[in-house]
Amino acid sequence: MMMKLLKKLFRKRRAVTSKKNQNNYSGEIKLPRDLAKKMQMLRPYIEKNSDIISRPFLITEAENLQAVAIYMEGIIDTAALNRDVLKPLMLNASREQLEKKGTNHLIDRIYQTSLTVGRVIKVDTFPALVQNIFDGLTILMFDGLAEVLAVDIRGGESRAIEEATAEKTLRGPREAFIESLIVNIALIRRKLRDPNLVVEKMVLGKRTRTEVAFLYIDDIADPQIVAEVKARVARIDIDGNVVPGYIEQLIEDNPYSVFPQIEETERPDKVMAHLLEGKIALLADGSPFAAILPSLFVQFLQASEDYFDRTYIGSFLRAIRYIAFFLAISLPALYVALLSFQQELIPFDLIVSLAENRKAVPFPVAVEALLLELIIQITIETGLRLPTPVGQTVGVVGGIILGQAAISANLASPAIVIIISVTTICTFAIPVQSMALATRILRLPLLVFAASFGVFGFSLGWLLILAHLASLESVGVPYFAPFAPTRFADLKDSFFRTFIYKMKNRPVSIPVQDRQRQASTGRKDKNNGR
Amino acid sequence: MEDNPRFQITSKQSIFFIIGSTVATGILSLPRVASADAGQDGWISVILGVCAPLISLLLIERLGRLFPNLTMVEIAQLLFGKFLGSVITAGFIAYMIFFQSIVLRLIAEITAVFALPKTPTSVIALLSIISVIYIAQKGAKVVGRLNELLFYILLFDLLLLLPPLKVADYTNLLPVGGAGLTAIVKGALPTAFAYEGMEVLLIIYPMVTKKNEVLKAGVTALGIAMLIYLMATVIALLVFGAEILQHIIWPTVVLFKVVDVPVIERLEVFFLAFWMGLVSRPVMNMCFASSYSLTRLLKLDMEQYYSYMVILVGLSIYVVALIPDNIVQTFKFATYGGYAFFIAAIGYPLLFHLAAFLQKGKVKQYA
Repeated sequence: MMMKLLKKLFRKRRAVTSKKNQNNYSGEIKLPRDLAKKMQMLRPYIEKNSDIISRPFLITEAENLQAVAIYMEGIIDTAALNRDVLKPLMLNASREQLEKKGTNHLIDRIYQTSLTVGRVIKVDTFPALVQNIFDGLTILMFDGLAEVLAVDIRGGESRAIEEATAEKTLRGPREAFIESLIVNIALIRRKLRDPNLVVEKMVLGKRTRTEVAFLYIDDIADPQIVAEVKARVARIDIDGNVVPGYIEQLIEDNPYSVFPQIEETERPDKVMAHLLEGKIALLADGSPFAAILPSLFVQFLQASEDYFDRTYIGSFLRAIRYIAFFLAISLPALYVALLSFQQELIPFDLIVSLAENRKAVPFPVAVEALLLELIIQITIETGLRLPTPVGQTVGVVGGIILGQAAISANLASPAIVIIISVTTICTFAIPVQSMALATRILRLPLLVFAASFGVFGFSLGWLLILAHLASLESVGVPYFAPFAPTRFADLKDSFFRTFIYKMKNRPVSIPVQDRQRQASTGRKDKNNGR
Repeated sequence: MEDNPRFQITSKQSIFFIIGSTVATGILSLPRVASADAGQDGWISVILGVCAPLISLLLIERLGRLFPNLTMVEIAQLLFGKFLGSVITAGFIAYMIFFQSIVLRLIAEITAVFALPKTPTSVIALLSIISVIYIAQKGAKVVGRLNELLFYILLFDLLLLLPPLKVADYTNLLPVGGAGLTAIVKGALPTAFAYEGMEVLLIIYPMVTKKNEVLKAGVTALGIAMLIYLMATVIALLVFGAEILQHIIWPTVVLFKVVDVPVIERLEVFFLAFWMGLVSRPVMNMCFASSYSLTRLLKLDMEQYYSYMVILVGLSIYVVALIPDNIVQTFKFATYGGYAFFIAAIGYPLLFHLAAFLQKGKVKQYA
């Protein structure tokens, strides 16, 4: 109920702000023919920004044609500017040659004969001109011609393609996305040469003007989902900070959930696999991550190795990860519930040794667990942000020495230290960071439930978690799909993974146009004989 | 048909919807109830008991075919006129609230006995009803999915009934049929109460997307429910025998205490971990069904007011649940609820059929 009220308020607010911030460059001012006048218009921008360079030059021979090149330092490829733009124009072109076709077509002649660059745009309004300068294009203005040319020779420095850091893999490709959208798309194109792979671009962020790309396979992805995702992204009206993390939060179905509903990945091979399942990838310039839509719960417990390794190994690892997910949320809660409420359910010898260990500890189990949980959460958080050598030291000091000292000082029992450590290790077994964070948060309310109502509270807590998971949707697709609603066909790639040759069809949980993944002759079945 | 996707369920989910509404606290006391009259032949009574819900299923399904796209509220108002129809549906909603308050009270009582002896039952009931409200206000689609998921999880609970067979004595079932036909039939009546909850189909019928599969789904659901009941009863009879059973209030729970399993020793912990998932299903299904009908009855906007109705219904279930003074009185209420089940599950559809038969013209418009 509260949620709904909040939602309503939020919606109204958003609507109002979108009205206020309308485009700054709304008027359609045509450019004058005179070069000096054009320069006059641009002066405020050029004077204020020392990185905008204007380079006047002449197109030679009998009668000079004055021209100016305007570009931003560092964003363009300087070698390309010299080689492909200035050199042909200044040395090879002549006005006479160009004018053979008449002045009207002069601009086209320049474009056709004297620029050795792939992408050139013709611009004739002032706002578009300014925008193109700030988008990083090189502008060529000529005296006597109203139209100007915007040449795309963007380049400059960017990070090299490196090994994935957040999603390491033992087997399988190592490369990860970088901050350049063009390179990232190329990484996927290189792996997926299907002519049906569609790359649609959109500009988001009124001030940052970030390029965003949707990738999907036209004859697999469900057109309704594609349209829905596009519509949701198009509805975003934000000034900047357009990275997948932001976009996700603006377009996801349930903003009030702790569970991640859109997966982010830095691995092109993972994106390719998802595209082949009929999903959509969303990339933004300046971010080395791709968002996968729609994302399902099972996806957050899958790792690439599951598919590269043999089926038994893959299934085993899967099962271990599901157990880890369960333990990461519920182990401390279960321990507290059993020890403080249902002691009779613990085997006798075990409870004796637990009691022995605890007899000098002055706090109740629940307090002990909460305290240690808090310390370990802070330790993780500290270790993440520190430089690697220092971070390791914090881990060792926080984990081993503090734990040992707490036991010797009788502030905690050895059992609880084991429980909390195991829980923490289980958290790290979850391959996607955003899901690991969700378990770290969920653990606390469940612990409080168990500390107040024992196993009953524990069971109530899990019922609520399951109900919540069953209610989530990602772009209209049920999030908890192969489990609730139960889809038996998809269970083969959930808590275990069947043989690759048995995955003949794409998952039924995600609507697609083309169900078949492998022809049935891909591998001979046992019955067919060899 | 219901157009809002939030209130649509698949025919497969309707199976689990019915099982979820039926199999809950009843299974814990059923072995005792079934063998009270029939003795060692209690399990035959359990099989016979399924007749009553089967008749109800057939009646409801027939009724649904007459008006495939109308909700119960609309059917009642069509057949009996605005006022009388509203009163009739209000009666059904009141029945569902009454029935669920008993279930809620039983949940609280059993939890108190087996897990939280010092916590007042009112607190346990409050916690349970709050989570039920949270789930029910998400709509039929989510409730349906959850029923489906919980069913599979709870199959695991049934496996826990097997280890006690270690101490089973098959002579406890002998002589078969020794109780006599009259005793067995007499024993079948209270076992029929265990299927209370399947009448929710009357409300969810218009939400099912494939109407032609409803009958199959219903029969499957009742069959599965019967097998689960049969299994619990037979195992309890084998382990305890009919006479001892009469002295155990919740025989199915006590079953878990009978045997020691290596390493973990007690099976109860698993049972308790799934506990809320097992018993809260009928309350959430019925809470959802009555809130839905109430919103329809009051002609309120579904999107806007449904969630408020769930809170209202949930709180009234809670308040009614506090009325009985103790467990004995709760059982007495439960018996009333059992008779009310016959009225709701068989009487209501019969009444509707009768009215429909008398006004054939009206029916034809909607066929």
